[in-house]
Amino acid sequence: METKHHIFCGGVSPQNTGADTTKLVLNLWQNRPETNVRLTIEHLHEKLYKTIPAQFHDLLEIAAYVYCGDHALKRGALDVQTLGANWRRRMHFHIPVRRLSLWNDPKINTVLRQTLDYLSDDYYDFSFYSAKDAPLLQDYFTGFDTGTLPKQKPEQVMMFSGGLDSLAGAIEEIVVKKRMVTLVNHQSTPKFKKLYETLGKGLMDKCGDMKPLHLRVEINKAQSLNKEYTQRARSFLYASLGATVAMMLDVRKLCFYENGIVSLNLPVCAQVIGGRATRTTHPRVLAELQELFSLLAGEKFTVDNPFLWNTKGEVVKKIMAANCGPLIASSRSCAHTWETTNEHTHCGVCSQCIDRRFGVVAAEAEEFDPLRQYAVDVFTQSAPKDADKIMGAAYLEKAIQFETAKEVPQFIADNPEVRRMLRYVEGTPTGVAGRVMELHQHHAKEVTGALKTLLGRNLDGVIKATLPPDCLLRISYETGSPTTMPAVTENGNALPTTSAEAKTNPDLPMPRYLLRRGAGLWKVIYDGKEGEIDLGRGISLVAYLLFNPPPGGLHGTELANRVFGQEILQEASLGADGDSTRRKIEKEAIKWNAVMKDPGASESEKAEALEELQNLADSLNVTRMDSEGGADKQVRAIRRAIDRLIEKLRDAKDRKNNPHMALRAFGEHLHKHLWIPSSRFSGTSRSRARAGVAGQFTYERPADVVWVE
Amino acid sequence: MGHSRIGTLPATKKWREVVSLVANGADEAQIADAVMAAAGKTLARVRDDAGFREAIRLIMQLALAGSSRNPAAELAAAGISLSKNSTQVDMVLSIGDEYDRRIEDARQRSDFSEVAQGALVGAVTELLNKKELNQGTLFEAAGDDVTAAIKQLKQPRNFGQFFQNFVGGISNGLLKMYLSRTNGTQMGEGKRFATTNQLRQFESAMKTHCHESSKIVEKFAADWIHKYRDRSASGISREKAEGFGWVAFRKMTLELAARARKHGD
Repeated sequence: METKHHIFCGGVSPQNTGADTTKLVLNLWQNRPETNVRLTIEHLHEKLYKTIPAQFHDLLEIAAYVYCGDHALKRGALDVQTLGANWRRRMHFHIPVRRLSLWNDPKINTVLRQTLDYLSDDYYDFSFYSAKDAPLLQDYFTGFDTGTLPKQKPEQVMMFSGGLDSLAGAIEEIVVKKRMVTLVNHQSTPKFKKLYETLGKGLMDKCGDMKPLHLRVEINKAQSLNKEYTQRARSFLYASLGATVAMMLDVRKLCFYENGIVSLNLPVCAQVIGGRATRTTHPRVLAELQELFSLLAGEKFTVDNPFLWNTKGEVVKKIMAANCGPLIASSRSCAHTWETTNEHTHCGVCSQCIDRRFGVVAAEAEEFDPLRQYAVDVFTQSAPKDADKIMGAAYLEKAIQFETAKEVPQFIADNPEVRRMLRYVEGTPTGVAGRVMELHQHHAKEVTGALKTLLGRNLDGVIKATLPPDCLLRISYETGSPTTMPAVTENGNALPTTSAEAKTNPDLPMPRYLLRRGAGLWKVIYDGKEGEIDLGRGISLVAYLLFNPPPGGLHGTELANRVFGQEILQEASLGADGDSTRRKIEKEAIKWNAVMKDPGASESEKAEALEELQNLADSLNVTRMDSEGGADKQVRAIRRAIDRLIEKLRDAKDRKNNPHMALRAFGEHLHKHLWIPSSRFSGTSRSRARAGVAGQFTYERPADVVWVE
Repeated sequence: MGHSRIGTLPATKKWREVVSLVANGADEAQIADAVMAAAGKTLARVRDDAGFREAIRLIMQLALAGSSRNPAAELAAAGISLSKNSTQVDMVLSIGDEYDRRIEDARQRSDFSEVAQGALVGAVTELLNKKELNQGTLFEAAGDDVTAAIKQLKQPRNFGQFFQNFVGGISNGLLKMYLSRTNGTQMGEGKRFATTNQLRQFESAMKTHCHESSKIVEKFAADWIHKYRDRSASGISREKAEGFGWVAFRKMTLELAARARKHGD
C-alpha cells in the first residue's frame, strides 16, 4: 500500500494520522503564522467585482490547495519495478470551508473526488471543516482596473494559456465571430511574462472595439513546495478560477480551446499508462467539471471545448485565415518550461513542440513560427536525451498507425483509452467512436503530409546521410538500402564490427577509434587496437561526452540526467522516499558483499558482485547528494566515477598480466582531452581543469581522432 | 497543455541486458524472455492485482453467459448491459465501464490493471469479430449478433481461444510497456531499427510471438472451463477463477522462456 499524504490547509490543526503517512501544511490565508501560499487575481475591472456564492470562494481555495499539494508531494519513482504503484499518490486534504454542509453533500464530494482521481491518476480524499475568520474574496484581487468598461457583457469565459490552441480560440471568438469574451490566464511561471504581454497586446490590437477583459491569476508558493513537476491536477485550478470569474460576471459558460488530438491525448506509446498522458481537457474531465460547477451554482453551468473535433493543423489554419499569423511567434506551446530560455522559448523535443511543428507545417504557417526559437530542430537534429528520442519516434509511429486504421472496433482495441471518452460526448458511442477514428486519421494525414514536405526540402541530407541518423526525417524514410542492423549470433549477445569480422568481411573496414556498448561490456578500439571495458557509470558518462561533446561544457547534473535518464535521477531524488531507497541499496550491497566473501564463489561471480557494488555505491552517492540538495556534490560523484575509470584504464592489464596497451592509451587520451571540474571539487591539482567551468564537463576531440559509435 | 511522461528502463543488470539484446539484434523470443526475467519480481504482484482479478471475473461472467439460455440477463447480473440494439462498440464499452467502475471504486489502479483491461477489450473485440457470425456487419448492427458471439463461449474450444487471446494480449501489452522504454533509443542508421518501419515490423513479430506462445493456455483453458462450469449451480467461485487465471499466466511466462531456449539452441 502506498504512503498516504495528509494535507492540512487553512489553519486546520494537523492531527495524528497514523503510521505510513506524511503531513503537509498549506495556508493561503494571509497574515497567519503558517502562510506559505499566495493567490492573486489581477486586472478585474473594479465595477465588475461583486460578491459570489460562498461555495465558489471555497472552490477557489480548494483548487489552490490541490494545485499546491500536487506540486509539493513527489510521485515516487521506480515505475518499472512497482507497476506504477509509486506514481499514484494517496492524498487526503483537510480544508476549512464556508459552506460545510454543501461540501459534505455526498454527491458533490463524490464528483469532486472522481474528477480529480481521473484527472491526475491519484487518489483524493477530502475532510471539510467549518471555516473561522475566513478572508474575504476581495483579498485575492489586487490591482483592480479602472479604465473604460467593455461595451457588452461577456458571453463566455475562456481559458487563455498563451498556447497556439487558446490563441486560435480567442481569435475565432473575438476577431472572427465578434463575440465579447473574458480571458483568464494563469501564469505558472514569471519566465514568460514578457511573452504573454506581447501576445496579449498583439491580440488586443486585432480585436478592434471588442477588446476582451483579460484577467491574470498567479499562485506564489514557498520554494519548498516545488517538488513535483508533473502537475496533472493543474487544469482543476484553471477551471475553478474560470468558473469563479464566470459567476462574478453572471456568465454560465466556460471554454477551453484544445485540439482534439491533444485533448484526448491517446497514449503515444505503451509505457504511457493512465495519467502519464495528461487529461487536462479530456471530455470526461470537462463533463465532470461541468457537473461539479452546476451542482455548486444550482443551475446549468457549461464547460466546453469547441476544438474537440479539430486537429492542430486545422487550429493553426484558423489563425492564418483570420490574418493573425504574426501572433503565432509570441504563443508558447512547450511542456518543458524548465528547459526554455528567452532565446529558445521551445525545447523542440517534447510532444507539444513536436505537435506544434507538425501543425504549423501542415497549415503552411512556418514563416510565422521561427525555427530559431526551438532549441532542437527535431526533424533534422538528434534529440539529446533518451526520453526525447523515444518521444519523437513514438509520436511518428503512432501517427502512422492511426493512418492505417480501418475498422472502428479494431481502432478501439488498439487504443483502449478511446472508450473512456465515448459516454461524455454527444452522440451514440458507436458514432462518437467513428468520429474519433476519423479525427486521428486526419491528424495522421497532416503528420505524413508535413513529413513529405520536410523530406522534400531535406532529401539531399537524407539520401547522403549528412543529417544525424536518429533525426525524425531519417528514421521515417525507408531508403531501400541494405539493412544496417548489427549481425547477431544465436544467443543474441555477439557484438558487430570486431576485428575478426573485419578480417572476414572486407566490406566492413575496422574503424580506428570505436566505442560501443555490448552485452555486459563496452568494446573499445583505440588507434586500431581493441580492448574491453566492464559496464559502469564512468564509461557511460565518458561515452556520452565522446559522442556529444558539449561546446561550452555540460553541468554534471545535466550530464547525469542525459546519461542515466529520468528513472535513475528519480530513483536518486526520491525526497521523502530517499531513506527507503538507501535502505534498499544497503540491503542489496550486503547481498553482493556476501558473494565477494564467499570462498566458493567463482571469479566471474565475484567480478559481477564487484560491478554491482560499484554501481550501488554510485547510486548511494547520488541519493545522498540529492537528499542533501547539493549539485556540487552530484558533480563530485560524477567526477569520481570518471576518475575511477581513467585510473583503472591507465593501469589496465591483459589476461597475461601484461600492460594492456589499447586500454592504457585510451586512459591517457581521456586524461588529456576530457575536461572535468576539479578546482572546487577534487582537492587535487589537475592539469585539465579550467577556470570558469566549475561543475562543467566536456571533451575536446583532437582533429585526427574520429570516434565511431 | 497535453503532454506525456516518458521514461527509460532502470539501469539494473537485468534491464541492461534487455537493452543490450535489443541493441544487438536479438530475436523477439530472446528479448521477450529477458524482459520477463527482468520483470520477474514485479510480475509476482500480478496475482494480487485488482485489475487482473477483475478481468478474470468478467471473463468468467462472459463464459457463464455464453452457456446460459438468457445471456443478456446473465450479463446484466454482472453489471454488463446487452440489449437487442447493442452494437459491438456498445458491448466493448459496457464491459470496459464495468471494469473501470470496479477498479475505481476499489481505488486500486495499477499499470498492470491497465494492460489487463486493454487485453480484455482486445479479446472481446476478437470474439465479436468472428466473420462467420456477422459477415462484417456487427459494427452497424445489432444485439442478436453480439448475443450469438457471446454464445460461442459455450463451446470449451471457443472459450480456450478467447482466453488465449486475452493471455496473449496481456503478454504483448506487458512487453510493449517495457520495451517502449528502450526501443525509441535504438532508432537510426547503424542501430537496431534504422527506421520506424523496422520498429513496426519488430513489434508485429513480437505480437505474433506472444500469440503463438499463448497457445499453451488454449487447451488448458478449454479443459478447465469444461471441468468446472457445470459443476455448481452457483457458477465458478471467484477464488477458483483467479487461481486458474494465475496458473495460466505462469504457464505463459514459462512458455516464453522455453521458446527462448529453443531459439537459442
